[in-house]
Amino acid sequence: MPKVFASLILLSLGASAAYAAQFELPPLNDPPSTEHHVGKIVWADLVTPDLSAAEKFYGTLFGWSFRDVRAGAGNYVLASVNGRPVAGMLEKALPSSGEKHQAAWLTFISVRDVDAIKRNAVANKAKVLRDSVSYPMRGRQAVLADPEGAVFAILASSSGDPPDYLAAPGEWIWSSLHAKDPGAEAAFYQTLFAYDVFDSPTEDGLQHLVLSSDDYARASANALPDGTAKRRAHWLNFIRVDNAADVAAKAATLGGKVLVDPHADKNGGMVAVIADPAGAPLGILEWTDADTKAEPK
Amino acid sequence: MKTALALCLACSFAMLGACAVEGGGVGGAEVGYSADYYAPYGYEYGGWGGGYRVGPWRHHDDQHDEHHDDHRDEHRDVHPDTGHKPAYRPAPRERPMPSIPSRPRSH
Repeated sequence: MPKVFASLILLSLGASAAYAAQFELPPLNDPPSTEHHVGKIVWADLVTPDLSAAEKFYGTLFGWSFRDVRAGAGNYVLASVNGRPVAGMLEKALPSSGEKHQAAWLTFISVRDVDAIKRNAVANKAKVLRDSVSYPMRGRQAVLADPEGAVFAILASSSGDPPDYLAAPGEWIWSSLHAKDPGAEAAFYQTLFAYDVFDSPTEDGLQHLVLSSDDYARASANALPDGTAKRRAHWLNFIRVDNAADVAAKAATLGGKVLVDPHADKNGGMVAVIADPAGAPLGILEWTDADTKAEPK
Repeated sequence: MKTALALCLACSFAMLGACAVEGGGVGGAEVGYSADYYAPYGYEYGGWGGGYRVGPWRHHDDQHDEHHDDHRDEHRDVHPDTGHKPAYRPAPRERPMPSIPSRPRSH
């Protein structure tokens, strides 16, 4: 009887440990650090109905490689470039009823206290889409919609935030928020992340702002273009590329779409917006050594 | 035997609950990954005109910098379209527009 009891206990612990492994999202930093950059965009997750198609698209386009990570009921892979984690990709079936949906990239912004920021956001007209959840190696996170409905996540990384280095080609280099009233949206995010907000000059009659923290630009906030098109507030993340025109053309051959043709951005450099085969939009942005000013190493 | 089985099951569920803690930190009702947001379908993401300014500031464009500073001096107290004070607190006018990190990784 004692042997049976011990066996059952071991079996039980083994089963529990195996299930626990399903929730072990990898840390943002390995080795971990105590470095935190509140307001920095530190991660992005793709939710897609076809993970293998996404792997083929992003792997071919940006040289990403993938490693399976068990994430509960869904399949989740960790994408890396040059050996460094760059994004997560979750496979999940599209909702079969109600409003039609499409794949999307979710932008994660660094915070120190998820629950405090969540309360602050709700007090300032945000909505909680996914309540706070802790993952042992990743940290604590929640998914919110800002006052105009742009969806973003907040993450208190348990391994610290990635250091402030220049992104390499194939890595995220920039993020932008597009909204009807960028000024009001900037005020909202300033309340949450204590951003410094800079006005950009405008040649198109639309408001363009830059949100910064730690004296680094973290994102731009831009007015949605006028017109009759159906537009909604959203975040957009940009991958650094060497040649935006080439990458956009290649994306189209891989089953993606070009949403904004490659063109020179008013702040310099070539920029474009593409969508992956499941419709998830993302930006691509050229950046050269001449675009940076040397700073102490 | 029944007691042992019950103990094993209780132990399993307790460990499972500790894996993902939702909301107030009690429970674990969320089984799976919580960042599973799908966007509504049918919206347009482009439409940017030639003057759309979406990217980060680039340090080498000094002439642009001066123009930019002038603009901020002009508009820091009023919204350029409405003439009202902006909802956000503008950065101090003496602060230059920051750019993205420029330090390359050492490895």
